[in-house]
Amino acid sequence: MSLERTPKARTWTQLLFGVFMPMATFILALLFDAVPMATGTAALFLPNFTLPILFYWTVHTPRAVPLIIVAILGFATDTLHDTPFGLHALAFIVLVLGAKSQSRHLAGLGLLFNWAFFALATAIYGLMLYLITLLAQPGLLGDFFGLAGPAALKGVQLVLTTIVAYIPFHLALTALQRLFLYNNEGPYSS
Amino acid sequence: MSLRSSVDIPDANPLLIWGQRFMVVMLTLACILALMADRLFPEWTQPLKNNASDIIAPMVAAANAPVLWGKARLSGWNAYLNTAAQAQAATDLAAENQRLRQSLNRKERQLAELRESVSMPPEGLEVFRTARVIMEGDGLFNSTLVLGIGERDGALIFDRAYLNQFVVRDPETGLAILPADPCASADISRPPAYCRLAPVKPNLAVVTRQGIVGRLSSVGYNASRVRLLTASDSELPVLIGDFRIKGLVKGTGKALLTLITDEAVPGSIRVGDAVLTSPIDPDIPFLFFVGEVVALTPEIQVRPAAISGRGIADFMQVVIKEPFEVAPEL
Repeated sequence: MSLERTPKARTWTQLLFGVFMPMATFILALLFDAVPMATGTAALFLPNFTLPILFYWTVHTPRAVPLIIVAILGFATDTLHDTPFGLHALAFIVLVLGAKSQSRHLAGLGLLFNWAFFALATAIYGLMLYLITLLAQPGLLGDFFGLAGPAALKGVQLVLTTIVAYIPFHLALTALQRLFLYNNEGPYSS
Repeated sequence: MSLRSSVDIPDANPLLIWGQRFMVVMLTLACILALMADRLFPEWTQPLKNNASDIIAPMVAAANAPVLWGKARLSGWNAYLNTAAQAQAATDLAAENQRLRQSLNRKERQLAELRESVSMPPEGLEVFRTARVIMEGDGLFNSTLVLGIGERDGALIFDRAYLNQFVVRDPETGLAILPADPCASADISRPPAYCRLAPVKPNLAVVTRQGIVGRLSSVGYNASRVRLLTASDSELPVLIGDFRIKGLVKGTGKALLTLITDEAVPGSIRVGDAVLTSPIDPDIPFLFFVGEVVALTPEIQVRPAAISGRGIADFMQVVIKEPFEVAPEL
């Protein structure tokens, strides 16, 4: 039986998990993004935890990712990282709108296509963060080799590590989703 | 095969679609307005961020616990081994500590007399409080740290006027045995009469073993935010090189600090000179390592010793400076 476009929640547990599991993972990702996970060189290879999780749930359960929650998540990220208020909120909203617009296609495709689209979305996200900060602080443009250049390199490094990190996130969240949302008791199991 | 959720229902209602579009426009506008407010009125948005961080801090600290546990398991096994040798070493250290305390007590009194004779202000007492790094904000253009130390912490400082009440005499030698800090185990919420509370407050220095990291920029109840030395609004009075030339290091938002001085004669500052904290600033520990000079032209640049990018350290120390009281004659 196809799993595509099931019209109604099968059980209340599925509905519960369908709404609360994404929220719980968002909060965990937000906290783990702020936690100092590693020191020294290892810290260079830390990905962004929020982006893969936000992207995955937006593609696979778009109704469980309302924009207001995305905006709150973005403002909370700005608070924790002491970045300009609204910066991450705006970038998250654009990322989620892009992912939602393609979710019908992406949800039916495999990991590789999801990964490719995620890579594109993450690159756009990184570019947005960079450009909005430059626009908000025009003095930075004149100091490209002093501050803006290293920030660009930092952005590229963060985008690349996050793109690489998407695969384990995708596999883990798929397993989680299968476990709680599509268990073997329902008609959705294959 | 798709895993599309069972809670995903196709949007058929035009009202719902227009509602969603309205929401997109409103939220985008809210973000743009927030960005403008952050740029134009930082004095409004910064306290908001600080208060929100203070509220979120306990949750982040909880999320940090398993990370710290994992790190301890990976790196700390050797520290738990050979406990018998450690116990013996601790006993020896305690005895030596007692001897040194007595010697220090005498020297402090001599120093205070000398300072008084040349009209120098009394030295400050430095209390080092260890704090966990609970949050690390890593934006493209800025880095920020939040420490798990706040108004509720502070340090209880022993009032030396009460010293004679705590001293016992060695029955054999008659020497005074100084007590361990009686305030160390006191309840900070109800300090006894012989202890006074030195609060954690903005501008205190934050240090690691490598040197000074920055200063506390805001202090909440649970957590405090650190302004790194490299931040563009950071300034610190310093002494440079063997000649102890007075100067000021300023953060630029980059990895290196700019050093400003009008006392240097050509050749008096060289690449590799150590930069240390100056006694001018009452909140900063004296002669603490800041970094070293790495370039002289076009401007003097200093590489900070303790800041090397993301992930500086798991723990840092906040230096609480308080006026120093000389112990009475024992």
